[in-house]
Amino acid sequence: MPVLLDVDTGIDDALALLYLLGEPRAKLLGITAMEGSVPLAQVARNTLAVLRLCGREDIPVALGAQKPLLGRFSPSGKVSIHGENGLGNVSIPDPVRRPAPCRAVELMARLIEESPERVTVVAVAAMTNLATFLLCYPHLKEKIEQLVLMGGAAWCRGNFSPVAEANIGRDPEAAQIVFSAGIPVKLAGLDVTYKAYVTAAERAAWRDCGTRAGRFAWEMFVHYAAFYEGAPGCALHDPLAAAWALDEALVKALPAHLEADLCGRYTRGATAVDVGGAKTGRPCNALVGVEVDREAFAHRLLAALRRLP
Amino acid sequence: METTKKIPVLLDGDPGHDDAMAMVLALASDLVEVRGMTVVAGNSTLQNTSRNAIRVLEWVGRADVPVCQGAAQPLMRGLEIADSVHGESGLDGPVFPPITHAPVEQNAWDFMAEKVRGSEEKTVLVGMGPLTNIAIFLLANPELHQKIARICLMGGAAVGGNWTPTAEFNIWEDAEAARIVFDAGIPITMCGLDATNKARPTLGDLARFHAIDTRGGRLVAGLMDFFKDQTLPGTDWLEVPMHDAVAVAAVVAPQVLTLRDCYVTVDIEGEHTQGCTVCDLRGVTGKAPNVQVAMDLDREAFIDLLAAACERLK
Repeated sequence: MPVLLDVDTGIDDALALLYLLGEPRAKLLGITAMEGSVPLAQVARNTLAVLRLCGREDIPVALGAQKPLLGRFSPSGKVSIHGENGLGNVSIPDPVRRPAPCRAVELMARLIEESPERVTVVAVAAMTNLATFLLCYPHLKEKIEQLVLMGGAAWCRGNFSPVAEANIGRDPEAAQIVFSAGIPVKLAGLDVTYKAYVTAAERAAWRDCGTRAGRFAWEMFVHYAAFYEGAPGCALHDPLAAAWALDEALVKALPAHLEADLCGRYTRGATAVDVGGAKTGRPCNALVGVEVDREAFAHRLLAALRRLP
Repeated sequence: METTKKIPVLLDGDPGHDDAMAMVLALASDLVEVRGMTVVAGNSTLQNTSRNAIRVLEWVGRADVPVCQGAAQPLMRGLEIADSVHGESGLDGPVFPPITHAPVEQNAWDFMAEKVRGSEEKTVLVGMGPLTNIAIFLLANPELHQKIARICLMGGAAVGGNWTPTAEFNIWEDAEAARIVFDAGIPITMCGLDATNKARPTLGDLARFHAIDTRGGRLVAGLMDFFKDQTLPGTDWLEVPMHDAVAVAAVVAPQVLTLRDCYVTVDIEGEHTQGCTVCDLRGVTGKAPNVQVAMDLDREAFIDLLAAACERLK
């Protein structure tokens, strides 16, 4: 399955990337990056460094947005779950190459145009790059097989505001443009990603699986897991979106009419999910994840890490 | 690199009677070189505005100016056209021959990027419709912002509106796009209703344009004729102003405008104020001015300017 990945790497972004690299059914065509929990230059560095670690310097990386469609990112000031370098303060060798000399939306357009098959886009950052791409290249929508998005919180509290999840909350207009593009959406929101956790024992198996990638994943999650003390495990938001792209059955989901709230005084960036379109009478434009086969997910992750260098 | 002593200009609009007059003003000017016309849906559908742009260019013998199609609808909203003003074709009135040229096979924003990148001098963008195309161009090409000298646009108002009580049509139609453009940090001249409502010809002016026996004169007189039965009560002023032509006047003859530096942003979510250009005329926000707002127009000088342009377009 040809896949494009949009990231703001990020610990769980890095694990999503590792998963796709180690998943033989996925053909990762390219990666686009945007500013997120760390500045864009650091996102670029992290993404290229992870690719180098896996010996996949053939995969192009292009840089995109540094701010949302409207306005600017406001710094949260909180201690980041991703650590100062975005990779849990784990040190891996610097990349030897630079990002592609084109913009993120150009890379997406080129790779989608060149692909003989329709392409799956996995987006695990704010959706600014993806929205800009859809605005610029509307004729390429038909060549997108599905959009698998980490974002939203339908029936649980948010992690960006009381009701908004960060990837939507950071750029609600971009999310709304993506939701309404007429392309099938799978939404892996906090409702299901908090259920997609891995235990300390499962993470120890990454460390002991005999690969550098497994060891790296374990090290990053030492920092990340500290934020989940007392919970049965730590949530793997972005990797779940990547895994769901490949395995329909991994996530139980409800068809729904989905919108991002843009104007609410307290609810800007919230995802309004109307199951079956029952309350709004609007057509279903998304599958919204509610349950995950957690053990199968953990198993697939480990298997992918085992296949990497 | 394209070089010129003239100011390189890219027109973006949704022709539209007043867009057509703006095109005449730009094409006739010795000061600017029109390097292309991109079209957007607004006054009418994209199909109509594209055809109308080509009609105008062919009429005045300037089919060499490339026309590129852009957005068929606003960034985030459905399209609402202004056929109540411009008629079914978006340019009702004059009888145009069938067009013989086609739009260039390139997106408006890619075309803008190519022209702006390839120009030695900074380019002036003239926005005469909803700002959808310009916003997409700016989003996709942050590195080219510095190569834009200025965006002169028809839109908004320091006070009032024409489509809602608080919003002018072009800004209201795509308020998110307008917000993106106003917040981009590029110098902007906003020709809003404060100035453009003065851009009304009188019936006497109409007779003057009918007497200009050039392609430009016949076009402008024909376009004005479409509105000649609606005059402001108790006056001989045509009710429908030639809004968009003022945005070109801001480039070719800024002396006809009274300009004021001001901080401006666009309201996108107000219950009653969607698309309102919020102009901080008293400086109460303490924010640095980002826009030159056209507060007034010298009507007679503007009419003279348009008449002179018509004379030149033989």
